[in-house]
Amino acid sequence: MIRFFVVLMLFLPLLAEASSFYIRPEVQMQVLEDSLSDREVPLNALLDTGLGDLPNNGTFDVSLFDNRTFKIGENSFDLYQAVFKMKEIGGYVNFSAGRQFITPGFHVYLMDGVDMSIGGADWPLRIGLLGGVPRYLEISDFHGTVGLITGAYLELQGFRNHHAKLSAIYQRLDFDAKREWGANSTLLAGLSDTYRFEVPWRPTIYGNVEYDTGGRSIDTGMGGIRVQPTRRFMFNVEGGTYNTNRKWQMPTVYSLFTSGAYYQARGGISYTFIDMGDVFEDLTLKADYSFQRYHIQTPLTTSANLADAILCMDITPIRLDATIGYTFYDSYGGKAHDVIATLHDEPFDKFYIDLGVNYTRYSKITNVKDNAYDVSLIAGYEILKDLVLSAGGEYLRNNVFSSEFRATALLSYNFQGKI
Amino acid sequence: MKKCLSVGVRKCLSCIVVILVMCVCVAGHTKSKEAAIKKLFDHQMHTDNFFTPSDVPCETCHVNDQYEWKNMDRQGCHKCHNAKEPIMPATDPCTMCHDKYRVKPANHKVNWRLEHKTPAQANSQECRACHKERFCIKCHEERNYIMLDMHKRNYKYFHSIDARLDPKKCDRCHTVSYCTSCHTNPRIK
Repeated sequence: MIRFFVVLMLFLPLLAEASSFYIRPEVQMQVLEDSLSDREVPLNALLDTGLGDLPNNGTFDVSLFDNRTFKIGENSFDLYQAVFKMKEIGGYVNFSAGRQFITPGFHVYLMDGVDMSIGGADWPLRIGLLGGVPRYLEISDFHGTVGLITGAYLELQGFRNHHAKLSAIYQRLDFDAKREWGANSTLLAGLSDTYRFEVPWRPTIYGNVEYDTGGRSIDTGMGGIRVQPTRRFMFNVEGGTYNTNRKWQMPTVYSLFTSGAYYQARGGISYTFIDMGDVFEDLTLKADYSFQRYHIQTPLTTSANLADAILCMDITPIRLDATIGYTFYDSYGGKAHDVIATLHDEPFDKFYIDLGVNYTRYSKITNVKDNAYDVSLIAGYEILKDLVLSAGGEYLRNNVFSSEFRATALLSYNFQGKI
Repeated sequence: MKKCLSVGVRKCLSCIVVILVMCVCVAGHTKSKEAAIKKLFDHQMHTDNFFTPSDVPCETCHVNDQYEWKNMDRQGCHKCHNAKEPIMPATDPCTMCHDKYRVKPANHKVNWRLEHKTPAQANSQECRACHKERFCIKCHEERNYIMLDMHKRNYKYFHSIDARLDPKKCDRCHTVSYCTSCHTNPRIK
């Protein structure tokens, strides 16, 4: 609660300067009961709020999340962002400070820090610097020694149809620990580029290289192409190699399951059967396939496959979205067939329905074979202007683990306007 | 016997609910698509108050003598409300129209969820034309176990298969401590 008021104190002085304001609180409550009649009542409170039209194209955005689980008494508070931004100060400088979501050219981070860049709207280049404390919500949202991230980046903005970013980031995990290159600190260098050909099929090629000097590993080295031969048909193929710094003291999921680089090939198509001449109504089939090959334990290698096909229907003027999809997973962990159907519909004014049906059949390396079912339904109504009350339920069944019933209630408000 | 009956009844109820929802949806969609469009775009109001007094020609929107809504020039609204030097700047946020009438760039149709990393890094300005950072946070950071967005609820039963399929995918949002919080917790069944 104290943290909430700290953020609020930042908010109030800016309020006098702003001329637009938004606030979107949402309360989510659920009662769940498993097959042993154990009950739990989790409660979520989400708040997105912010100010706009501050001096120098300034904005201030805050996103909070609070979770209470009453029976087992687990609570968590997440601050996703509390960031003040200014754009085109003097026509050239962008500046942001506070907790913010950044994509510095490698992973994505939440960072408590500053990001500043300089570049004109008609300049081909933008140069930036950033620095701060990276935050990992699953480890340490506010406390703990979680090191430092600092670096520089250079963006190529549409020069000869190229959009590119060259970045160099220094990251340190823990200031109390010995400075061991590769284990506690490293320098990451990366380059991303997309290029769009000005020809009728509109091919776009893209690539990304990320190198970790501390681990001497190519974290990412990939390239791909996306082509649209006709208005209805599009396809994409890409391939790459990935690895991770295995000396790094914050282990990755990837380092748990592999012992070397892995190679991936991926392809996808989409075909629109019904196209009304615009984006408002379509019936589209999408299919993707990816193949992975990697070392489990050198020199042993294994392969994995993922294939999915999804049929989507989007009739926007009557606000109906429906999808039915199938996904096949195959790895040394086992095989799974997953079928899902979803429906979002707004048959009457101010009223919506979300329906989801999910069936999964799987067999694992541990010799567990089972089926899992999930049916969920949420319906909501706008009881007052911008205030929506929703309620629904979800039923899950799995022979090995549990049978659960969840009843859910949501109350959300969305205000956006001028001050 | 009681437990079997309970499971049977719950399964029946699930099917009944699904069928009922379908019936409600079909019953509700009696209004025409044109009516839905007209509700957002008041042609009479625009013609009387803006187009006629400002001598905006009909061809601005009705290109090639097309008068059916589906053949309108979709840049029509933007020509006046969201151009570089708009005749009438949009007074309402983009979501006034785009929340109701979702538009999606063509490149979002194929493999986009897996592919978006490179374009988002190399050209984040293009993403910001429609999305704010909150949109990224929704998938990459938000820890909401009541309303699941990223994974369906069945996923917890077979996530071990997917984690061995493409473990790099897990790292994009999770640290290993997320795995150990359940796998080393004796209270998790």
